[in-house]
Amino acid sequence: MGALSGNVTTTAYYVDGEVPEGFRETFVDAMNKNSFTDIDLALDHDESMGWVSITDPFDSELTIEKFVWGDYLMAAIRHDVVRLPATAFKFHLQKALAERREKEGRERLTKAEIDDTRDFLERQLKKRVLPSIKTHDLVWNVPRKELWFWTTNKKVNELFVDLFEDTFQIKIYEKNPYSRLERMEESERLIARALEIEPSSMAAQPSKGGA
Amino acid sequence: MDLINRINYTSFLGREFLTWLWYRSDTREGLFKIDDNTVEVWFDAKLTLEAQGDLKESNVVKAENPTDTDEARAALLTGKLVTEARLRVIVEQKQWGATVKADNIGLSSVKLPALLSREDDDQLYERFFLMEEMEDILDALFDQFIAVRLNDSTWKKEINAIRSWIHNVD
Repeated sequence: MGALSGNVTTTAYYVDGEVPEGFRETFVDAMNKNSFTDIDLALDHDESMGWVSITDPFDSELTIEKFVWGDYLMAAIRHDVVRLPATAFKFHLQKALAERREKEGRERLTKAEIDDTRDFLERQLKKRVLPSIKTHDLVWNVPRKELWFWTTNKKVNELFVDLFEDTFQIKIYEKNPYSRLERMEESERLIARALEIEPSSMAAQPSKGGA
Repeated sequence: MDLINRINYTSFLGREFLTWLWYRSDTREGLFKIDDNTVEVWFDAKLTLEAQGDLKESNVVKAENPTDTDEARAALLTGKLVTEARLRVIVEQKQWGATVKADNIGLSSVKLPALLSREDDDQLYERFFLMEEMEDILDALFDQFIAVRLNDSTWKKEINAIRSWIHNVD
């Protein structure tokens, strides 16, 4: 389920500020600088996140044609993670430690040797595991200054905000009662008032005779 | 007050909004006026009410018309407010289904009206247009609530009417 079809589950954001002149070209360049790349296991990385085409998670070479659609800018974030199943890893580790003890003719290994075996095993096994791939679509209505991000997962949204702001150098704010007040007419007055009042007790007994 | 605290402090407005929406829908046959349009808002399928303050207690009511159930009305009487609601929104021939959460007045699991366009590109524009229309309706309803809520005299009347409704007093 994403921007192009299916039910809609999104987190809505307000965009703060104007887009620069020539933003289409600027933004495409910026996205290509932050595009998705495969996880680099040699650097002991477990995950990777970056921009890809909204129609193809394996296409990280963005062009204006793939990104711009009338008033809308559309792309996806691809987030890959390599995870070793905990129980399976535990069994492999026990086996590896047993083999090392036998090879070295000792009953016990030092903590450093155990850590060393664990780290080596982890690196080897990660090369054999397919990373999980998740993509989350972004649709940005530029004149409306609003965008939707296709997930409500809190952690992914935090990562998205960081990536978005780093890429586009524009701040975004999640939609909520406060940010809605900021967008309304007389926002200063409304916000000041909202910060003065306290929650009402809706279940209290009504007063007789009306107000 | 810094931004995070402002957001947290005003979050109660989302819960009061959804509860107010239930009250208004129930007492006005689901009808709301937004600009020149008449919009119907009904509560469908699932309703979540939570206690306020430190007490972590909630009622999740699943029924065809959850707002008509004794459980939902009883939860209101104990002071719980609506934190999540499945809404059915109708404007002219178009009908949306959407789950609204109080903390971010956000939409999820939105079922859009049937698309009328045939071409792929037109369908995509229509899809986004319908999403924005639903957002605009929700924003307009929230704005109506805010206009009443942040005005002392209008809120005094409204909260008394809500309390009478909750306690089933004429």
